[in-house]
Amino acid sequence: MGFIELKNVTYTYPLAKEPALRNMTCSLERGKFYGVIGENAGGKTTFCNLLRGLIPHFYIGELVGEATIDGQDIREVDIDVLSTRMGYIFQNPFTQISGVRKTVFEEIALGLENLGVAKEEMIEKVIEIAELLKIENLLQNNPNRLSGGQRQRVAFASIMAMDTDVFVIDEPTSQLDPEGTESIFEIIHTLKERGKTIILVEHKVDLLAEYADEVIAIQGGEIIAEGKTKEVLSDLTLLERGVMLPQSVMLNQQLNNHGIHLPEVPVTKSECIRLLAERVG
Amino acid sequence: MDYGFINQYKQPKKSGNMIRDLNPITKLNLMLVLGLSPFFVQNFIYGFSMVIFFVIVSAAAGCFKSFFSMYWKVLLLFGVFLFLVKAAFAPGEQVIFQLWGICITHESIISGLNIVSLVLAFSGSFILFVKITPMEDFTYMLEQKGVSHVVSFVILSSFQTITDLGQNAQIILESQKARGIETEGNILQRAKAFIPVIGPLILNAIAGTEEKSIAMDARAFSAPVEHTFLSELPKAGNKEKILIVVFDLAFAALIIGRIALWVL
Repeated sequence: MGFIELKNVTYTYPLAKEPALRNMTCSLERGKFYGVIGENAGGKTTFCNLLRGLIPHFYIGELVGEATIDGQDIREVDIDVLSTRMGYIFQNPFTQISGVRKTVFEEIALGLENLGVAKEEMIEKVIEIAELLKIENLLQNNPNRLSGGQRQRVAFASIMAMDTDVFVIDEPTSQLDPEGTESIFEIIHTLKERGKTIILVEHKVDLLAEYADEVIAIQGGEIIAEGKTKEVLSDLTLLERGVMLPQSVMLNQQLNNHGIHLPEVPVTKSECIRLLAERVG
Repeated sequence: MDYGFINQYKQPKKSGNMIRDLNPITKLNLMLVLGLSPFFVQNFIYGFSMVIFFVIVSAAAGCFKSFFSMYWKVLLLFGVFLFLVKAAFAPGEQVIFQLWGICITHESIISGLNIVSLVLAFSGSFILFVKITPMEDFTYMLEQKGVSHVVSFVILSSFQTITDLGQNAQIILESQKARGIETEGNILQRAKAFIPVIGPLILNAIAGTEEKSIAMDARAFSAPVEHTFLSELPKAGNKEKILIVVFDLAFAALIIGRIALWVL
């Protein structure tokens, strides 16, 4: 049984006529990195809100079906306790800063204060995370005066300092430049190395192809594909359903059209280079 | 890594300035006693003396510039306006100047000075308190006294919202300017540019509240454990406690004296 289990889950927001999630069934295991892809307004953020327990505790609405976290029905989960076990980072870097702390150091420590961590330990953890995420130079800055990318890194640091088991991350790079995106993926890679469970909503499928263990594709509130990253991202039928696929998969398709066939569909850049090199030489 | 900066969190917070380093609750107590005392003394000379006292204290606390940059607006807006209205319209016997409905008398001037001194003394004490007390220190002390961390967050967040709204208004005005809308000039022109901004500004703030509360939930804000603090303040010393007792007793005596005068 997975850590998070959904069985025929349908959810409708309050006052909405149509459900945002439809008949969803999936099982997420501990320690894995799940990439969530799909078109805009397809239900990805609602899916995150459900996994994080904000549905049905924060967004009341109508929840039908069976949803469990660690064997406990999501309706009965204490969301305050859940917040100590599941970190949540979302796309807007400007609303993730508490706004009530004067330095980045204090901002990162805020979650630890809320968890009742002793002062000495708190300071050590903040230093550790700042070094890990390479944001030592920001520690004395006012978090309200940081750029979008810097704020997003501070938001990651704040959640990582809390050392939660699961990270639900909703489009963290949507407002960032390529450099900022790269640094966020480095952070996510670090989380993966630490054995955390990661659920990442992301449009940048090339990066997901590099890092994710499994991919879930959502469209119109339904799961349309789910499985190993390579299997899902090499499924060309997803293109017809509005799901973007990695550039290497698209290149492979173009090569096929020109009669050039690779032994397998490459989903990552490195795989593509390797297969092309083998083909050429 | 600047360990000098980090080490400051290991010690109780101190600025090195005697006035600033007073416990926030002590400052609040003194603010109330000194700011309210002119209401019971009922003498404008005492009231204006308090105004001068607050200006001197602000200089001693090293925040004269920021204190006075806010205080002069109160002096000008409320002080002068209230005095003129009172002096012109308050009743009195000894007429100094009279023109149409305006009648300035010796009594109306005294009455004007009295009310202005009360307003300026209280606002002076309040502004001084805000300038010499970081709000996070104040809410920290409130939490130490048993106030819920939710209340302390609301206080801190409200102060931050004022700053945020100002910054957001500026951003919207600049984008208006980029679209060719006149945002500078006389008061009327500025008002014309600013009034349409108020709606989106407030709507944006409301929309941001939802994400803000989710962000705070992600920081385990309501976790069912006792919160700890990264920054701590030193406990109030005995001298500080004696100072408070003396001021509070004097204030109590003042109130009793004033009541006695009213009754007798």
